[in-house]
Amino acid sequence: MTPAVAEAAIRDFQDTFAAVRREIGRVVVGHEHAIDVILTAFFAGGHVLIEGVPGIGKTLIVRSLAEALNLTFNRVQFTVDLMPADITGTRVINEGADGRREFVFVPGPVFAHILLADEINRATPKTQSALLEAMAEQQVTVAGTSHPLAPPFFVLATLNPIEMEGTYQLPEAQLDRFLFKVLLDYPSAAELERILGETTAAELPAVRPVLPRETAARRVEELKRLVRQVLVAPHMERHVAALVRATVPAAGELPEAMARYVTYGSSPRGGQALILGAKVMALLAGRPHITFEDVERVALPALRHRLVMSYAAEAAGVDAAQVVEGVLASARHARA
Amino acid sequence: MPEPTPADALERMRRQVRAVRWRQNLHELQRALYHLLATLAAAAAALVILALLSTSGLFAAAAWGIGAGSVLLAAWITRALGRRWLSGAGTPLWIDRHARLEGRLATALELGRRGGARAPFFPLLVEDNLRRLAAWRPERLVPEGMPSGAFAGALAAVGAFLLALLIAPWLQPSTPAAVPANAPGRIAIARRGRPPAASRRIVLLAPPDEDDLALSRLPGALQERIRQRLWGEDRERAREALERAELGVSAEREGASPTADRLAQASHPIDASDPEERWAIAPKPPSGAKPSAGEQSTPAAGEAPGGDQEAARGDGAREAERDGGAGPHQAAAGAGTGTDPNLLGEASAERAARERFELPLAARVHALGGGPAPPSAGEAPPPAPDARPDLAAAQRRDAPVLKMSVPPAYEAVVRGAFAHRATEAPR
Repeated sequence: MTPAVAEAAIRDFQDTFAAVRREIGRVVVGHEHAIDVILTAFFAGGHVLIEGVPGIGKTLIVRSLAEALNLTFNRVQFTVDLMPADITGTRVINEGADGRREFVFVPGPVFAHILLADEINRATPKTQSALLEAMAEQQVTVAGTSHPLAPPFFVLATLNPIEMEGTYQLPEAQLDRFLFKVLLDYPSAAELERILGETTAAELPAVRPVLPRETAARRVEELKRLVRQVLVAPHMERHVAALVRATVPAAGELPEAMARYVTYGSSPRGGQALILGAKVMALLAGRPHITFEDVERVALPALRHRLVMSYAAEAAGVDAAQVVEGVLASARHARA
Repeated sequence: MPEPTPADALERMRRQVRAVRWRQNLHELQRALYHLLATLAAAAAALVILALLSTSGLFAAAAWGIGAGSVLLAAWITRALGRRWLSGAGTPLWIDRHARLEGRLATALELGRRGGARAPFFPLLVEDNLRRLAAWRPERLVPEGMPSGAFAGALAAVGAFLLALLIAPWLQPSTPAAVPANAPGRIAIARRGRPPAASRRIVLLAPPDEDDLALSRLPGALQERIRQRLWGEDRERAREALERAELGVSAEREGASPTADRLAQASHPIDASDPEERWAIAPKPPSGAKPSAGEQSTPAAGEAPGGDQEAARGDGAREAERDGGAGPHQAAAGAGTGTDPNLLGEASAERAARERFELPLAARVHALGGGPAPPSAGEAPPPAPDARPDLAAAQRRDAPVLKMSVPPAYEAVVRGAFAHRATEAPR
């Protein structure tokens, strides 16, 4: 790739990202940072877990994303009686015109480019794991037959932090499958006024597709490949590895004051999330390589949900975000 | 002009990185050397000033403090130099940070070494670096000339040191002059611009404690050496004056004991670093002599009681020689050359009446180097020549001045404790 072509590719990525961002912003009021993180995860090829109270626009963000990119979108409301087949699909007996009966696979809602798994913690672990297999392997297996999912495949799961009764919290191993975790805050007063004004008017704002439907999936895949091509210097790999190790109390690199608050640190997937997210950030900054600042920008959503906090942390009111901030501050200090 | 290949461009970048590294390291080395020079010069200036002005105790404490502080500071400077010293691998990162290249240079060089030139974005990165080569030229990134702050600090410290050397002669205390006083057996001490203190007599001073550690003697030796170097001949003249004065009172100190000297020194510590304080003061007038007005008052600070008993230990040896051995009130054989045989005085015959007796105790005086050398374990040293026979003629009997009341019940014990033994080693 010549420098001119590479520069054009980076500009194209920036333009597409900005256009999608702008279209989502037409219907979603506020949540700019959350939308950026979701789009970053989307182009990095990961999945996102959103935690927020009901009615603050989680579904709207995901639907707007699908509409802007002109990709297929499905939504599954997870409940306690939801079965794996309700997500992955199932085999049904189909009688042909000649009277022959055969099993035919009927794809479930997971067969879409973008899937919203609403309140994922309300389904049983068995159902959750069915979705997680699809997330990790981009395929579902029904009756011994694997069915690949058409790329791009992006899952956006939501967690409701209230009404915890009758829920099945995602185990750490399943949380680890999500590239980022985003916390959606309650809108500010100004944002709330805008939401009320725009959503109760005669004409609702609509999202215009940024990509043509025929080429949308291919274009998105190209952009995701471009992200993967961003350069990572060895010193950046060392830096990310050090950050991940610094969250692990057993590694002994976490400051003693923080170590008692963390039971388990980040897995290597946390490091992958840091680098992939940083690559998107680098392209958005017009650079073909990642920097320390790129890593820092995605560190919180990439590592926050991967730390298992101790009871001491709960008692002291220390959350994972504070630990990650502490680790970043230490790394910054060591670099200076 | 043909476009440089990525390999050529990388080589250009590497050359420039080496130039930046060399220049920056030189700059840091200069800065560290100036800091070290400033530290040493400031420490030397402080030591010189303290050596000339302070007492030996204060100088010892300050010298160790300054020495330790200088070593710590030098270690800190060296450590800072180590931290700032650019390694081959760290230089590109340093340049990235200081030239705001956002990691472009380090990434390009590291990936170039690692064989990352095949990556699609690598040519763009190299071209981007080539465009920014001018932004991190050595002369642009590393300031030209010397580190001005460190240089100014070093200059100031060296200036302070030179100033200390220049003003050293003015810091010298005036040489005390020893002149015969009116009363027999007296020597008056006068300092420049001040009248002589006619009532004061001179006694020789005890040498420093022999159990001093080498480490505690080091600052004293350093202080002495600094004074010797800076005051030179003047100091020698002062020393000679002291010696002359000592010789002049040698006859007067006949019969005094070194024990008395030491006791006097312990009870009245004297600042031995001050040349004037090298003279111990005894306010007690000789028996029969009319005391002056000043002598009738209470002894001043620094004045040792029991002056008639105070003498150099060399005089004790002469006394022993003159008396020809141990008598009823003489020291037993082998009791030491400076032993006063009548240290405890006569046994009290009035015990029943008074129920107490008096134990004479003398104070010890202290100074550096003023007294005669301690006698060796073998033969007693030859007596010093009598430089002032007129003073010797006025020699009077020793008389205890201070006596401590001791209950009779303890008399035997106390006398036993203070009695001279034939086996007592000479001190």
